[in-house]
Amino acid sequence: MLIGGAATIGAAALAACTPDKSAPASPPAGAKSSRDYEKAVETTGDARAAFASPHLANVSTYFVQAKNWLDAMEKSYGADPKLIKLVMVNYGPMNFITYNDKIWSTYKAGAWQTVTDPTTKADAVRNPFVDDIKKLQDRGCVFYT
Amino acid sequence: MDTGRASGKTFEDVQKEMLDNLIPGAYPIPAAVAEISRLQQRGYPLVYVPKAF
Repeated sequence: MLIGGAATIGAAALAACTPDKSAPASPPAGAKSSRDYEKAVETTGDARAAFASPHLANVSTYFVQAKNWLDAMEKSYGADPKLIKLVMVNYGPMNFITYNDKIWSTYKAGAWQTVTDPTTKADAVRNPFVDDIKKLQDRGCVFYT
Repeated sequence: MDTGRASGKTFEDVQKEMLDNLIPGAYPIPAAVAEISRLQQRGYPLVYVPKAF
């Protein structure tokens, strides 16, 4: 997702609207400060990494590798869990994982990106990854979009 | 699919909609490609997760 001095647009919006010269130069009122994302990754610890992927179709591997990285840092390398920072830098279709059910429903993300809801076995019209994301956030993961 | 343009939404409408519907704890950034390099400058090694192994 783009935000700040240029334009703000998400994965769904990317295909929906191309920003033009009338696009606002700053985030709308109520948007997070453009520096919150920098504060979120501050740490004094050495156990830090950035994962990046646009491949929503491979999101399960993305999450498994994040969990494996966290496990290795904690259990094999003895990193203090409170100081671990793993930044998940999402881009392209992977941005969808950072949006709630309204966006998934409105933009038919499941049908568009071939994501099946494990509960309904149909194209996902809700974000089926929120529980996985919450578990990773609880372990020090920061999700960028 | 129903796109913002097809539904008659303006850029500003879509921008607000996207920002209003982030999951808790997600941070909008200027551009992933920029933040990847900035994170590396701050000592964050990059792990790229490919489409498939």
